[in-house]
Amino acid sequence: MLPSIMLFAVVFVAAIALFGWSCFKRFRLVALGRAENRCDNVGKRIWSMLLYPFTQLCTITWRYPFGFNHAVLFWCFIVLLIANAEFLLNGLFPAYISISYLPDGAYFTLAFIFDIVSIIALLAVLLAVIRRLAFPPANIVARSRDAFVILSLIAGLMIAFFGMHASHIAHGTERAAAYMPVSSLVAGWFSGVSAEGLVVSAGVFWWIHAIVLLSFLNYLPYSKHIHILTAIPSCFVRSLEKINSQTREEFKKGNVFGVGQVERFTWKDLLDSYSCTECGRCSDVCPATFTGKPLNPRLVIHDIKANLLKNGPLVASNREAVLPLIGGDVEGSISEEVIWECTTCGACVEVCPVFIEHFPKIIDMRRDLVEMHARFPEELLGFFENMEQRSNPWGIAPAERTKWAAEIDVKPFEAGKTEYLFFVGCAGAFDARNRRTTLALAKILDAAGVSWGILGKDELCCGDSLRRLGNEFVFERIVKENIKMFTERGVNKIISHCPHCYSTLKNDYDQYDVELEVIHHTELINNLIGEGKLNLDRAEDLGKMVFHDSCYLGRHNDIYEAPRKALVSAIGHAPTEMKRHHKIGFCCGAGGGRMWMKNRVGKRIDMARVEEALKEDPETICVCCPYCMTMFVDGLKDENADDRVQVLDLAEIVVRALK
Amino acid sequence: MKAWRELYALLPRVIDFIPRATEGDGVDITRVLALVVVGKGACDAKNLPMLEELAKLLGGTIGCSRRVVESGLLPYTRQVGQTGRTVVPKLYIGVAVSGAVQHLVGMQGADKIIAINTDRQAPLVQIADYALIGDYLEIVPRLIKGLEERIKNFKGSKK
Repeated sequence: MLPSIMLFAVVFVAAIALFGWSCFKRFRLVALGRAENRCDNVGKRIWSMLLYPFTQLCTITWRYPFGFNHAVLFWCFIVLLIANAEFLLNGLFPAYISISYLPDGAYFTLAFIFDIVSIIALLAVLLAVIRRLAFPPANIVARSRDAFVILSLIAGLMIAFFGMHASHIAHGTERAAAYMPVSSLVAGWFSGVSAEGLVVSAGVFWWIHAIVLLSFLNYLPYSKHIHILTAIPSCFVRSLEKINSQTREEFKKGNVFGVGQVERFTWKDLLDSYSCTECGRCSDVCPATFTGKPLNPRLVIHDIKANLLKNGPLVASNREAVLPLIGGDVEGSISEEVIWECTTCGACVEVCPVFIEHFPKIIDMRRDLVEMHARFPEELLGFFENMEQRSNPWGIAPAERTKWAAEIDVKPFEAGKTEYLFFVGCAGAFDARNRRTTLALAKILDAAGVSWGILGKDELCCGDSLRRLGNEFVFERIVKENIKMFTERGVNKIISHCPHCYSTLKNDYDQYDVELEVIHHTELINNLIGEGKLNLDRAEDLGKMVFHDSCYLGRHNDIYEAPRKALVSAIGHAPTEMKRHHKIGFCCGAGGGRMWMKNRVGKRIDMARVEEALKEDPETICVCCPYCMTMFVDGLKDENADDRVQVLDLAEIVVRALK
Repeated sequence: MKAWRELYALLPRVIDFIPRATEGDGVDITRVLALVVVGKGACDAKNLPMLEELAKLLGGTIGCSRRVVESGLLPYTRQVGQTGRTVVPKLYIGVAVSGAVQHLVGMQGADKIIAINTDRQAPLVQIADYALIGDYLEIVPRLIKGLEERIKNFKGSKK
């Protein structure tokens, strides 16, 4: 046995050294990224790290039932971690370490557990192989070499395990045999083998197990399976807050803005690219991918990784990068058209099991294009100019902002006298259809006796689209002007009927020195109804009502129930849900500045959502956002359904229910 | 041999290649003084020649709204609006154009805006200098006839 231990010791040390070196080579590249603090609130982070991986909450969802197979494999893996650790140590120090040295009770229990867990793992692997061959999910490369190598290695490990123990059992040298049902079964197949043969087979299977295990370990850093090392830390460093904002830029001369090279990402971004398990759930829910756009979130993350692996070693040794991050049509380079297709809906972030933050990286790259190179789709030139010069996306004279109120009595916001600023927003002020929502909300506020006032023609755009398009420079200017105005006029509480204004004023403005209490009109209406300040009858003749979740209301700010509850009060019953609702609600297509952009490739996202809505055969569609309103109105017109389906904002529906 | 080299040196060098410079049909609607803009309500290949005739009589050309481009009737170079071109003609005639703000932003700088629409409440009608409420199929031929007579009389006048 002695030469065997020596041989194994050499193999073991070599394998571990190689593994360590591979890991070092890979992970030192992550250190190239910019600094970011992801170690605040350590208690909550440790809890995340224990909760999500070990309950496998992230992988098991109704939408992806096969996630359960992964959960099973994961739990088996954790148990077998102990078994394999014992295996390796036993190989090095057989005289000192073996579970067979434990008292019978403990030994038999462990032997039983390992036996059962190994067969479950093997079955899970088999199921995975069948799935990849027979019913592969779309959006990923299911039959990849990487996947089959890993699955084969795991299967090999299990088979070697059984071969090994079956040999011992057949040879009669396993005292836990009665507690190892599967291995005993396999031992039956060795019945014809001689005693010497069994010693050899046990040795052979032992070496197979050892080699496969150490090979697997060394294959890890070069495969997507590295996620077994990065996934749990990813849970620790995940974003504890919702991803509804982006970081500020520091506008100093000589600074570089945005991310034009891979090392400009933060280390967390780069770690994300390693953590990706290539599960494809992000692509599955992405509205751009769904409608045939070149944007595929999984490939964006993959390209970042490929770029880091290519350029990282060069950059680390102070040489020039060779693969541009933005622009190419090759792996590791993200084309500009991909970057502009994103609506920032956040579905990708919502479904990712390892907490990767996809779209903030896209916005970072947009910042590079806009702020460093002034490269953006031509139709945005007009938009940026209008924002800079007229503080609204359409370049309409600011004096027209009060046109919506021409026929009613509106008061200007007065410090100390008015409680709420009704931030009308650009769409609510200038867009004919959305003006009706503004009027409806004004009526509701008056009916409920809310103290409110407006800024009138002094109101400026909140700047949402600017920030999501990467034009942080103009965004910062507009924010500062707005904050100055709010402070001068004593504005603390703001009502908005646009989720984008709401989210921006609440989450983005928070990064500047201002205290604002922002409430969305759906929340306010729901509160007013609850407080009995609104007398509602049932709004009749709206027919079958379908509700659409706005991304900036739902996913970005967790407002799902308030509008639904308000609807129930207004129409007497809950609305019909579309197939994709709540957390996986499908975007209308206007977010992320896409409202101002031309649809170049593939189907229009709003058409896809309208088709989904029409499947429910609605008579009324309820929206809570002026972008969604515009998208649905346009989409229904193009589907020639605008004569039988109407789109109404929640405020308009509640007005109809007002006594 | 030397002559060829000298000739070669005289040939223009390509310093930049801009694809799609004459995309569509090469017409730049931002440089035209009169525009007849076709809206979804007039998006009909059959009636397009009539509208082109009107545009010609005015010394201008045809533009259109986004829906007309998406329907395939006219190329993207003719699109007026937020995601198309911004135009500032001296005369803008919107034929069956509703005038949602996404379109208005592309033509609000026009000197004179005339709207032809059956819908009195259409946003374009609200902001137009003059609005002709009715079916464009009846109105436009009369406009054409009237313009032709004016031109004839003007040419004929020998004062």
